[in-house]
Amino acid sequence: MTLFIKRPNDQGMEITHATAPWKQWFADYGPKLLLCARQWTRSLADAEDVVQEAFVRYWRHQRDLPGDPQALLITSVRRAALDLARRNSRRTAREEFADGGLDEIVAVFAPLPGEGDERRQEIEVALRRLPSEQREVLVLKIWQELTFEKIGEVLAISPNTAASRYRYALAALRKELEPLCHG
Amino acid sequence: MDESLQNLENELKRLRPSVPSAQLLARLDAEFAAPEIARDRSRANGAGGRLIMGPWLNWRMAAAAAAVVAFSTVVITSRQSLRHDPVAPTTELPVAVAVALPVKPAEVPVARAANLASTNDRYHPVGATSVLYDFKEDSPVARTTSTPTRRVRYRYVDTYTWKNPATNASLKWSLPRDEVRVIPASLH
Repeated sequence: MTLFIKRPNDQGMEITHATAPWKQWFADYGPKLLLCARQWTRSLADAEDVVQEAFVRYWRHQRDLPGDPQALLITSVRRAALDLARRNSRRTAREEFADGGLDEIVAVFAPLPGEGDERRQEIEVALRRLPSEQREVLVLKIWQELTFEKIGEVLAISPNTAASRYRYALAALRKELEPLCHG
Repeated sequence: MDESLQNLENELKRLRPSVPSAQLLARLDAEFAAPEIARDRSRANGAGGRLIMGPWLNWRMAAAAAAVVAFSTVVITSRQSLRHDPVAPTTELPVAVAVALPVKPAEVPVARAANLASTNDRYHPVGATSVLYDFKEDSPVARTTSTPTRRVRYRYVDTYTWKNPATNASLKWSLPRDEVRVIPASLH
């Protein structure tokens, strides 16, 4: 649950999501939300639209609500993505929600220096090949650091299902990727 | 989980998601540029941005809203009848005698409409549909004028939809409507 941790600011005071200006908050956590949104949309532009819609709604209307704000925000992103997919499907009936996802070849991770970047690209390609239901669990577990229970809540599946999808995803990635040689 | 999966997991964790584009930040900046006006207004009425159906509505507002809705209904009806005239092809164009008999809407929907139209500008109309589900000859051919005519009763369900883009909440209002048309008849 690292999305909403308290952390000291420059003056040594603690700021929380409730008091921090949105820009600071978004600079810290926007990339993770965008990565989530990419799992449920077809393009980077769509993902940014979805993040904007969900974040504005959260910041204006929902951040004072009780409960886990992280799950709320991710659920909100997912719903916005579903709404967008429905609107798009009305325009083009052949498009489906999250059909493979990440259709657009745009890097979802920040470039790494040197040879590490080649490895990053390999991982991105391997991620794209994963079934969408496995990939979304992997993203929520690795980069949102949600527990399987929380993932289950967000995706409306049981924690056991989330855990098994996560294991399948890792195993499939391992098959795709050459093991990284250390030293 | 075996060691190779553990290593892979750690490797994945080292990757950092890409930062959002400058355009997204600019859009958010614009969105939050004047946020407090709307927020304060919603807090002042205690709604937290939600629609209130309250007893504070007075009859004057309800009447004004009903007038707006009735006007919209007439406009929509006339447009649709121009586009989809269901008169049989053997007849000529209808005589300009179209009687709209809207069913009197219940008081609660009127109050909702009043709220929507006058006080809560966050809900925007996003759709209006009119479904013709029945039509029949209402009476035998009448000979009130020199031209033989017949009366046809069309029965519609009109549905209006409002949506609040901020919360994604939506409100639908459906009401039945009967329309009687007197149209020239061809007698052979």
